[in-house]
Amino acid sequence: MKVYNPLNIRELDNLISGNVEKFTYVAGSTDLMVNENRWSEAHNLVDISRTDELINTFSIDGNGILIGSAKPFSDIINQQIIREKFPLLVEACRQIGSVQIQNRATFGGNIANASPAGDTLPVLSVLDARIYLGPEEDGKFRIAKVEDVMIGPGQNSLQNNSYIAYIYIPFPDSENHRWYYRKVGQRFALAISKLSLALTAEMSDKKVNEIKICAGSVAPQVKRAYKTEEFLTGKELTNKIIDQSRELIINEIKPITDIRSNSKYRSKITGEVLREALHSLI
Amino acid sequence: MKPEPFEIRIDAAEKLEGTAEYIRDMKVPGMWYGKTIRSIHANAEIVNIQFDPHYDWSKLTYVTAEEVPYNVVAMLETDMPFLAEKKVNYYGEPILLLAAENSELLKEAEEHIQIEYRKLPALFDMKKSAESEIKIFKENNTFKEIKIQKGDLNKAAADADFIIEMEAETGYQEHLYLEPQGIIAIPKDEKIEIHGSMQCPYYIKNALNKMFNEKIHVTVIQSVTGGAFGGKEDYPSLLAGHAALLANKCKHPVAMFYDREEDVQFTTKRHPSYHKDKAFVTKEGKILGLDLNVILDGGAYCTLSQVVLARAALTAAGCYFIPNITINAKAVATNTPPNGAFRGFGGPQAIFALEMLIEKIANELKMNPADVRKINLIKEGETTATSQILKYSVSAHETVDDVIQRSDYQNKHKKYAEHNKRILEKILNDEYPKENSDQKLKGIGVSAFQHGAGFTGTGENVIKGKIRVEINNEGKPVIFSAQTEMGQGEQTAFQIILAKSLNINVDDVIMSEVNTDLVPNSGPTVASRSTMIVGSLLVDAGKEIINQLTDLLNSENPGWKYEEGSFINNGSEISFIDASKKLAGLKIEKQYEHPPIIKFDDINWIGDAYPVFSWAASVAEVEVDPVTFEIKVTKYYTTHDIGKAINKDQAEAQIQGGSLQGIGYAIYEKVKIENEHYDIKGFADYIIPTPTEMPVFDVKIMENPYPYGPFGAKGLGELPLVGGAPAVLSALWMIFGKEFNKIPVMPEDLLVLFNSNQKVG
Amino acid sequence: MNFEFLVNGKNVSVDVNPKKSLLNILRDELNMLSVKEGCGKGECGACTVLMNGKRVNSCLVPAFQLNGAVIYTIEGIMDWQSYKAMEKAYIEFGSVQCGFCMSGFLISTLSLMNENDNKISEDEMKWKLGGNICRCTGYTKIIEAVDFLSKQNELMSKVKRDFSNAFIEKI
Repeated sequence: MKVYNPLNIRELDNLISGNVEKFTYVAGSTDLMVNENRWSEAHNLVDISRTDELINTFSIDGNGILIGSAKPFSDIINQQIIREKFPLLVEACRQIGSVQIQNRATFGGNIANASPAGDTLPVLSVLDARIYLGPEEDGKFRIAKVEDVMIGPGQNSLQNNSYIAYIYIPFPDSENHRWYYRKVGQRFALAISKLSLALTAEMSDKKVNEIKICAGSVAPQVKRAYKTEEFLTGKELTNKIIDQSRELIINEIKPITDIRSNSKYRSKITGEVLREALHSLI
Repeated sequence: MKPEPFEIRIDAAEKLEGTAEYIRDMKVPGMWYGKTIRSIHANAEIVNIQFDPHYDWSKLTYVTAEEVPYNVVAMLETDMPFLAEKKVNYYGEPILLLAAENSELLKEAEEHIQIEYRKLPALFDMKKSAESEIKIFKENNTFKEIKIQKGDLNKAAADADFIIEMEAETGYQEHLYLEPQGIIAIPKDEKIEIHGSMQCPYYIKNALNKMFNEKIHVTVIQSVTGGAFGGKEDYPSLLAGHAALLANKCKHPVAMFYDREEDVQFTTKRHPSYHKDKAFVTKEGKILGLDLNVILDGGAYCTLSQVVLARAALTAAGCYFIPNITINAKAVATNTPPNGAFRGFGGPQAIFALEMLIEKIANELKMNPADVRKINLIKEGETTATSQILKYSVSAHETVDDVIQRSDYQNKHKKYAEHNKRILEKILNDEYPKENSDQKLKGIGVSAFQHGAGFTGTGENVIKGKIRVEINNEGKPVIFSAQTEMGQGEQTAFQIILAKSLNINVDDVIMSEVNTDLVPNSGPTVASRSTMIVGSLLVDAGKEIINQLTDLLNSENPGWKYEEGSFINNGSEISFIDASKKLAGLKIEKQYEHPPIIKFDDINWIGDAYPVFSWAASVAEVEVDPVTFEIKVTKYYTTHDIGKAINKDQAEAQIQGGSLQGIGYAIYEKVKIENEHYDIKGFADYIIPTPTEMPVFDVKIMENPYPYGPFGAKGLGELPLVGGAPAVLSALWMIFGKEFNKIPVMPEDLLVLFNSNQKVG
Repeated sequence: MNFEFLVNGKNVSVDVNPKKSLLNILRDELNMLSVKEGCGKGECGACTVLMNGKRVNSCLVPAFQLNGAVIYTIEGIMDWQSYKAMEKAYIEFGSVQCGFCMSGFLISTLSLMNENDNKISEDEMKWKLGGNICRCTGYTKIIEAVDFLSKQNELMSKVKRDFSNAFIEKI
């Protein structure tokens, strides 16, 4: 077993270029250590919880915020700027596991772990987050969307030891920005979701100018409801339109039955929660 | 509310500071670790067990079934082996034991054992068990059958205006004590010492004595125990047997420590139940007769199922006076891990089914559910299902009246029904149901329940529990009893009882270690019996100590009297402690006898099923989200008559904790059999309440004394759990106006209500 | 492999498998027995300890992330100025039953007092203790104790001072 402790991105990238064995990146280790198979198969551990840029980056420009992938959630949601600009993110992170987990778990881990129940994934999707993937090539990170990285249950698209370096979240555009988040679990704290729904919208009164809807735990991936979004865009939110969109999202998701819930509930309630979300906009 | 100083638990500080020694905190030099090799089928013959001849077995010890001197875990029946020999009856049944210095070695060795099975069809449906071709226990898979008969149901049928029928089901419940099962066996010369997390040291001693054919002296010592709730009543006998077999063979101390997954997968659960009941009712709501049929799923071996069944049967008619009753109850076998004791012990299942039948009566007669209960509640002088005449300490009416009044049940019932009307209409019409995002459906529900304290029927006369009090050199009394502290506060309660009997400070009463070489067998710590039964012996012992001291003092100089903690004679005064130093070394033993007025015929199930009952009633306020159908209990009122609260603060604590377990049983806690085994692995998939799920508790303790209990005390431990589920489901009946007859109820189940065309609300 | 870090104010060095959990290191190698394993999967909170000023599930921290870390368990926290008041409240509110979850609750209580002011609502308090499971008490008497503690301004400042003494210069 080998353990590597890259202290900055340069060391990390050098490590990658000099090695062929498969790395296991460890940040908060909250998912990894409970995944018996992956944990026992991890022979080349790369501790990124001390990699300077990954843990310390929290930089704001005029358009958005760049966050290191290995920064624990609690460090992020306690920042004033996040509370002001991204209440949606704060709400979603607050409902992750427990404070103990939030003190260790990270965006990078949540994305790479690629669970359909990953709590931040729907939120990152509707906030249009961009994922910076290392190692740098020609001085540049590759940039991807959450849905490009999380490709199936427990499967990510990260190949050849590439890693998640940063998450960039643009500030919402206008004064008319609205949001909604709901996680449905069997209990409130320490819950793994049965389903979740994140939504952002730009509204002019009751008219939808732009809308993003993403559901968790109801498909092999986090499910961006593009067809529902398209249908709603440009429309006035009437009861009829809202009810129609409910049918649309149900057709976009593919929930399963497992120990936490059944497909019927997940399907029907995702529609109901969307209806609640849309009513909250008007 | 802060407790009185004397109510402060003696074990609190050491538990907070981390110095209390739980079994995993014990350091034993040279200790090995044990591992259980288990069946991977629910029903199969073991064809062959192959130990890889090329593997170096010298670093390990293994034990096979053939090596067990007497391969039966001594309990009520002789059906359960320590290790399965030719046949396995459930997935996870122990077949072999391994021990080695570390767990890596154990893991490695396990892969060099091949067990060949011939898989057989397995039985999982308790309703089909008795008639099944698959035989698990004797000829009809029936561990026990009980018939209770009172009056004449034909008469009830003739006089009734309505016959109301209902089927009901309850699921498994896992104890989920925070500390998983753990035992260490230490071999010492001709002796074996068992340490561990347990409720009943003498059960273990008895089981191991028999296992070793009485050839080895067995000492059992309880470690600090991190919760039990019945889960450490019967199971530790099996686990201690495994540890002892390994230790005896390898001559090392051996620890059997289950991790959480092994614990929830293979240790006992609450018996699932099926009920098919019929009530004969007048149009005023008076119940003239009950025809009750109960099946309990005992799992693959009997363990305690026969007595769990007895309590279920004896509790089946609830808190009500019913002139005509027939109860048919049986416990049957299935190819699942044996079910065992769990707080309430058959009571929660029985009360749930009956209380739901009462809800159905209220629903069909369009009566208020609290009113139907009140019309039928039992009073002093009336008879139970076993024709037991209740002569004293009956508080069915008082507890129900109190909780109804304190919770403002009647007003809220009306108010909430009105509030829900529009929301339910919208759900039915498929309209968005909320006017604002916080809007919820609101329900209020009630339950009336009781618990017979102590063992069923003549049980206490069979056990004849014994305690000893010794006066040590400092003149302080030391209590020797086999009652165990597992979190419920037994040690503190015993200190208080003896201190009060002697009129001295609680700190001056000392508790002996629970070690079978030191303490007499005062019986197991189960059945809500410790305070009431064993506590009464402490009062007797206290009286005798005072008498002997008075006699001793008077023999030197007559005229001594004991008053308020001191002996007084003509202006002279000697404190208890100073006086009792003269009796240092005194040993007083007390043995329990039932009060002679208590008589029970356990062949015909007639008479005094319990020496006394504790009574309670609860009101639950419940909110249901009309969008997601998530259920939350927001407020829980309960009134408990426990005769006398020995430690009021910790009695409240028992009531709060037990009630929350009852709420969990109703709406959170679910276990299914999938692919022949339980579908849960731990806290992530067996959902129990966290602080975010706790309701606001409003607890009231009533004290209607039991003449034979210590200071009037009756049993408490199990009672609070019993009423949780029916109160919560009563609230769901109120909201949805539909039949609820199954627990647990999940949001997924509420959704289904709206898929049928039946009217809701 | 060898790992060096600070436990309860003392330098320690352990030679263990890099995947060994902090929980097992504390219990097996360092004899810090107040830390309990209830699940080993971060789902119950019984193994909660303070790491670099924050509470974490020690079962989910691998050895190889420990170099230079500052860890506190109840064994060390007992010497803090704020500890006695907390213990007293838990005892006097009757919050303890089987005790197995208690060191985790105490550490979460301290963290909560460190991270909040005296205006913390009961709802928020429940959320913040949501990572600690107790099967005995029904939580009521625990919440009563925490509520009482978190309303005492002086104690709240004491807790904050204890945290900064324990962690600020050492991390």
